[in-house]
Amino acid sequence: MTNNTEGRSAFISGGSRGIGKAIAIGLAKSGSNIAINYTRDKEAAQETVAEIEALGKIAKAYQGNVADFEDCQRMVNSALNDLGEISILINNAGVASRGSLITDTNPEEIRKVIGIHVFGTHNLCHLLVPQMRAAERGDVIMISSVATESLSGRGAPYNMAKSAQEAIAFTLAKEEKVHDIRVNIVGPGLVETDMGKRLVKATRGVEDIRELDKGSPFQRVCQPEDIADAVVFFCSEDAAYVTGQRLYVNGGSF
Amino acid sequence: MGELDGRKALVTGGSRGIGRAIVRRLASEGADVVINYHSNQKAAEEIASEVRKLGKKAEIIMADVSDQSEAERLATESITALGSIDILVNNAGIGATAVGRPHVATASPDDFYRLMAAHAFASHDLCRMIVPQMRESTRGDVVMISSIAAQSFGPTGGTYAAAKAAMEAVAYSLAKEERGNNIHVNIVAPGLIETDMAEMMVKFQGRVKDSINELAADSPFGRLGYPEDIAGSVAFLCSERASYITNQRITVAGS
Repeated sequence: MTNNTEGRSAFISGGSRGIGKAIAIGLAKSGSNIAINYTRDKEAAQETVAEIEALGKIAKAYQGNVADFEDCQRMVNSALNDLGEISILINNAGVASRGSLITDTNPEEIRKVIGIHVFGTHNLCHLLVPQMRAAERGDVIMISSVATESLSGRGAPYNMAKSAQEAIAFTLAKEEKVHDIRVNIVGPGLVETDMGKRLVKATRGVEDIRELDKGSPFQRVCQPEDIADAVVFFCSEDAAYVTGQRLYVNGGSF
Repeated sequence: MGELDGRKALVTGGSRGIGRAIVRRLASEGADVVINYHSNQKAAEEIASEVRKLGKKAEIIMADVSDQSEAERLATESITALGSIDILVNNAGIGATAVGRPHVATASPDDFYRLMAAHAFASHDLCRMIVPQMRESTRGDVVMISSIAAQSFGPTGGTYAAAKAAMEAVAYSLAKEERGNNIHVNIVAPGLIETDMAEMMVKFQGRVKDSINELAADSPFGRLGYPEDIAGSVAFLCSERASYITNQRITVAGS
């Protein structure tokens, strides 16, 4: 198995819980030191840091809102200071939208959701990619969503945000290929996270997400580790010639 | 201990190029392998003996998969050789160069049929013969080795692209039909990879004089794609790490 990121350092936005946490742990297991960003849940961030340290890797957590450029500057400077060169960036931080029709969607909500997914992603690329060009290899992974394919109703802010985030990825892949930087997208469907649980409760009245196992692909709801495995693959030697790609991890898009 | 311990694979066109790298990688992860070849028995024996040195079973079976009865025989003999097959890699193919890279309007119906038979009918025949017994396994995987031709649709590649597009259609349909049987179906689409077939193509196109490696410096990441790059994605897709992935295509082209 050559899914190895030994000696590298990774910055994971929204890395304290859910998918981001699984990615942080997955990359640490494959050999990386880890910087995670979190916004509110300091306790969860500290727990994730402790779990990574227990794996024998360096882990640091930085509080900040990725939509805020100055917050990003502060977090990135601290991370570069603490970990040295960062050659893996995972743009994972995100929020769901409220499920309104476009005609009922408050413009403020659109700005907020796009702020985190799109401006947050650009902020971190802007701050981290230049120093990544000096690395032996760089990887930027966007955690998008199958929403970019389904573009369902009552999801405009999220659909808009994820589509724009993917546009950054496909463009960045072309721009940075000469610097040995790969840019890829992992698109989860429904995953058992706090966000996923809230989603099925709000849209389908499901109290326990595991009730959905039976009707799910391969008889189980997707786990954060499924997403992490795909991310680690993209960052590994096995995917050295893979860039500008989007992989949906959702048990098939149907 | 490998990720594919106990798995049993059939790789069509497994003696050379991309297929050979896939065979080597699947075996190094623990799988027993049937290596199908068409013309180069010596190459097939070489890679088979490499697999056996890894402590894994290897069988070589000659068959032209573009011939329905031979594809059927290959499937039956493969299942007999290893007891069952739970990984099928549809890799065997012929390049557009083999039929002279014609424009769609000038391609002969016979040449077009050859390409369709090698990629689309062969894939269907092997799936039809192999997948039913795969349903009995804990997990099954079918991987189609397609091509970026089915995305770029460049001139003089139309008949080849049509064959690969039809092959991909088999994959996307099969993924939906067999998910309930825990069978994963995915596509790996190589770009320009350093193989004999690709070298023939770029020479035919007049893009190089002597060697495909003349293109390396201007290629993504300053190198050509290697057969091992394709094998890396195939191994990932067949592993536990990809147990929630089906119906997907990974393009391995540095772009």
